[in-house]
Amino acid sequence: MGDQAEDLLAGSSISAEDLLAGSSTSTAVTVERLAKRYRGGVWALDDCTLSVPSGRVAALVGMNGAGKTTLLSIMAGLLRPTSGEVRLREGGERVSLVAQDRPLYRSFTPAEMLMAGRQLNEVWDQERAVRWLRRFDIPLDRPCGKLSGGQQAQVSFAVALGARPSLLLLDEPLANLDPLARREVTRELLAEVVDGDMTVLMSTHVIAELVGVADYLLLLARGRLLLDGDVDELLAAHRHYSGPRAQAPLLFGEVVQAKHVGSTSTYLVRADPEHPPVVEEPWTVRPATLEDLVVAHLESSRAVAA
Amino acid sequence: MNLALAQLTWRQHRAVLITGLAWTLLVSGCLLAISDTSSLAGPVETVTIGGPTVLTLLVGLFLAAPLLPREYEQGTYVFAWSQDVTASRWLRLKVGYLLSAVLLMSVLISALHDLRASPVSHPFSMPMFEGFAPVQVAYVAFAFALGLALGALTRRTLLAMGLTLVGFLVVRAFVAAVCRRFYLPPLHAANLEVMPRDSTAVGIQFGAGPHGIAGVDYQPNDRVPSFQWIETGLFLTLAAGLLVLAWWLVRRREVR
Repeated sequence: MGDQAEDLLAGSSISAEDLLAGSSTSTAVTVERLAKRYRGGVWALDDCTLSVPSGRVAALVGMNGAGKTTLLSIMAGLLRPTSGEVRLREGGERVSLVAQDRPLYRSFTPAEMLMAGRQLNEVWDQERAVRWLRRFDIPLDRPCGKLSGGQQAQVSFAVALGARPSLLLLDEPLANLDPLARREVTRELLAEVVDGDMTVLMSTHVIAELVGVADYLLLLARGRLLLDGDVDELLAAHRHYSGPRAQAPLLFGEVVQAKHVGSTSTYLVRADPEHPPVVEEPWTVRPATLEDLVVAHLESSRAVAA
Repeated sequence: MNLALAQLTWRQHRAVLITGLAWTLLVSGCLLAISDTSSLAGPVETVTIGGPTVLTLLVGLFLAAPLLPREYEQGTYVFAWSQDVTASRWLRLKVGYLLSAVLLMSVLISALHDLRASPVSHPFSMPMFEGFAPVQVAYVAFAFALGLALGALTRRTLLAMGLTLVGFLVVRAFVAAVCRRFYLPPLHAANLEVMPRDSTAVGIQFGAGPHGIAGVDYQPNDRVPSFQWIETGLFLTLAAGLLVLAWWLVRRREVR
């Protein structure tokens, strides 16, 4: 098995199969050995290999500076990678990007932004875009520069959806939205995914935002894929085991993280969800949350790197 | 997508285009209103002399120079260039529309200027030489291309505007003062007295001879039309080169 496959086999059988089978119909986009070096010598992406299954809402998670924005920009065709390649699904993927800073022409009204979207695209769904603006009560005739940050975000979403993307890239989509709008936006986005044969890849560093939204996780650290897989499968595979302080780790499964506080040791263990390790008193088992397992993987990778 | 990007281009640049059109109409009106074309004093006449130049600077500084930097500064290139229309096609279409519009304005203003105002002065210099309509149109094309290319290079609106102003004036002055008189090899006479009447001296060698002059290089005045076409060609060539440079700078960023 080559390096690429090993890099990818951080846990997901789906993406590993896709990679070995070449381009598969179940993959919206695959990036292979992608690297991006900025002027000044910073490597934003370093030998990054991953794939996004189609028809899912995939979360691209990583701390600030992990390379999320760079990866999305390369996928959207805005940045040229230093090396490596991006492969879209056979037959082509319509890619739309909602960038982090929500670029809009400040003097344009939302209606004029839709005109710009229509002029810049060969496929355009005016009704879908207008529906989105109406749903969130965005005034169609005020200059975008005078709208609030949340309203500007809604205009960006509307323009992106109007282009009828099959792959929608969202860079920190829920930032500067209030909690209520956040919930509504995610609900509406999910409805659009179901309606429109669309894959969504959204980046975030706030894991709480993902719960109930994303069903696939891509964890990025220092420009590489650290972990990927179906969210439910990952949750089923990870468990906390607590018991009396012990130096030796448990024998079954992969210990992602070990913590020793006072007389108690806690291990986050990744194991086969079908056959979870069985422990006896005084050891206790409790499920891990998405945040637990993301933080544990990030911390353990940092410990390895250090 | 019959007239691809036409509506967007108009929406983004309508303020400058309307200003340019208003100026063109104002200057044209003044030119038509002049009764005595040999005297060019007074406010109306001042407008007509400056008319083509103001249009040229408006095009270079306020239309072409900010075209790319504004997209970079507001981050809107991320939006504009991630849609179906590629960045290089976006640029080609926009340049096509805008350049056509300003060249039409320039043709109107400079043709009228050429016909109505006929200053009698040194044939190889301002304002007679430049009064030739094709020369003025070529200046406009050059100013546009210079502004666009400097915008693509600097990605800063104010910097691009400043450099366009300086660059345009320097190139124009350099060509007028240094290059123009040598578009064709000058003819030679022993001294000013034997130089033909309808000619312009372009170089004098001092030495042994009457009044200390050993020889005179001159250009016959009937070469003026050829020189004007040569200058037109020179500025159009510069403009084409700069447009290709701007296109290449934008195209270089394209991935797909």
